[in-house]
Amino acid sequence: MASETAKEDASAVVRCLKGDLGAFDLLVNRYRSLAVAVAFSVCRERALAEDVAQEAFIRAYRHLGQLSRPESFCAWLVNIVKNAALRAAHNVVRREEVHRSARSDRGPHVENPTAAMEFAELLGHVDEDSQHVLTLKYLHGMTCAEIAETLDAPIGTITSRISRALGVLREAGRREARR
Amino acid sequence: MSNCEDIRTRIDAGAWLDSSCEGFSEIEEHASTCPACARLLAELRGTESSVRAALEWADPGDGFNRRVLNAVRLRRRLLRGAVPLAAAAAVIFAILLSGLMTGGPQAGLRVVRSSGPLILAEGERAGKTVPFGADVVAAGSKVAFEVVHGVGFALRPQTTFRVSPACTEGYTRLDLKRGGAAVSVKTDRARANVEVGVNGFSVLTNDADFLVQTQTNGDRPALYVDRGRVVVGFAGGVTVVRSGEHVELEPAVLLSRLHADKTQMKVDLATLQAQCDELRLELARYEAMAKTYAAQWVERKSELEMAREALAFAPDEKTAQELEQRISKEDSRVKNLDLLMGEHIAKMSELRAELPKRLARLRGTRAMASRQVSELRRGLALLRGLK
Repeated sequence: MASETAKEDASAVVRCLKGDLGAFDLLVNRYRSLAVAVAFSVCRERALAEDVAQEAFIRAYRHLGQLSRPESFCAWLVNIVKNAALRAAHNVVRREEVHRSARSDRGPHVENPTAAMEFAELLGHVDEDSQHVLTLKYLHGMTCAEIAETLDAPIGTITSRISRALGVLREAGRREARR
Repeated sequence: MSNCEDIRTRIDAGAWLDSSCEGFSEIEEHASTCPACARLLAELRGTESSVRAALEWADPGDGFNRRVLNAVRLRRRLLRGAVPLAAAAAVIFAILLSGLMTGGPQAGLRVVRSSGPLILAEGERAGKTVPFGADVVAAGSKVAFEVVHGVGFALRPQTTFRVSPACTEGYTRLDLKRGGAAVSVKTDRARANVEVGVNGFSVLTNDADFLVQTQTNGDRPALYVDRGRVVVGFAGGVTVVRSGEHVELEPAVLLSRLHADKTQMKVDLATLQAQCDELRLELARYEAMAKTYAAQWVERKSELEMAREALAFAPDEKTAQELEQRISKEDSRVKNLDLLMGEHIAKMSELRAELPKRLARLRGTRAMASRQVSELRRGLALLRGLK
């Protein structure tokens, strides 16, 4: 059974396909942070991650008609973001190779990540469902009960999903700290 | 009371996350007496703060929606053919990166006619389709192309170019014969860069989808950037046009844009720096106040203890009453100070959590500014090469 958010996404997708840009604005608003975080987890450059997320949304809009299950918009978008980010990261590496003589001091990862940046990188390590609930809880400030109601899922499922994701991130953070 | 194993199982199930979860208070109660479980909870709550900070840091703001929607709107108008192309006189040229081509093997430029030899398709006749980003013509040739497949923009079916000798290493320069626009295509497929010069302007870019629109009289060319950033070179310098933006390629417009960009960048940095400084000052104020309250608390607490001790040895009823009044007064003062210290400590924690976020935003903005400056420098170097 599709969750409430997934139903809302599906309804927004249908409205987009009918030409309602407001519906697309809603989807951009809902997933922009997640898209930038996922892109950053791949390309590790903030400005580039924003560009990638923007490109992914435009690409998603262009190919909305090909989305066979509109309720899976989030997972579909995350896949587009990841692919676009991988391509962008690849282009950065190629560009850096070409410009090496002029800018030999710069590798593909030019920014020194702060704690928030490092965590944004780690967010790409958890699955799409977990990214979604983490966004609802920690960006939109919803309680577990509210998320459970919104997603039409048992509260136990939501809490264990968040707890598991936090455990994964905690371990990943520790591994990063040891490196 | 629950044992650690039971509590760990509940923690794994996420019952610690917020008070709406069943078993939340038991976990809290247990953690208040068990250092190991308290440590685990503290670590998980630290991870929570990091996730929150990361997601807030990742939020690109409302400008992001505007840029995405602008791009989508323009694309829709182009696809509907609603963008005024000044009838047949307008020239629209768009080149997508070879790496992004989705139109299959036949996507590319079709050479309609050529006065000189084709480099990759040497000896081929007009009608040959060559991929985007390839060396397609010899310098000095006059070539007409039409763009086929894989292009998301509405394009004029045929655009005629005159090819002049390479202006910089690795570039083949193509000058538009009609419409007053000059176009240079970077021929290195790996970089898939594109240069477009329009009436004395050079559009120097990396990995961007853009569209140049020029009127017949050529006096008001405009540039729309669909994806990525485009560096525009002109007599007054270079400026960056971000995706979703539509800019007239007019000297005055570009110059004012260049100044506005510089000013905005300085303002953004100064504002963020000021916010961080203000936050640090506020934190220092709260720390100083908390220290004062702590000193007063120690003093009042000591008075209270002394009064209590004295009460135990009060010689008469009257003295005992006075001491009890004093104890009550001191007790109330200590409680007030407890409250004030609690408030200040909470505020300090809030400020301490906020400060790294602001600093991260400041670093992010600095990095973006630095990237923009390096783009502008690279653009200037390319512009000098063109001249």
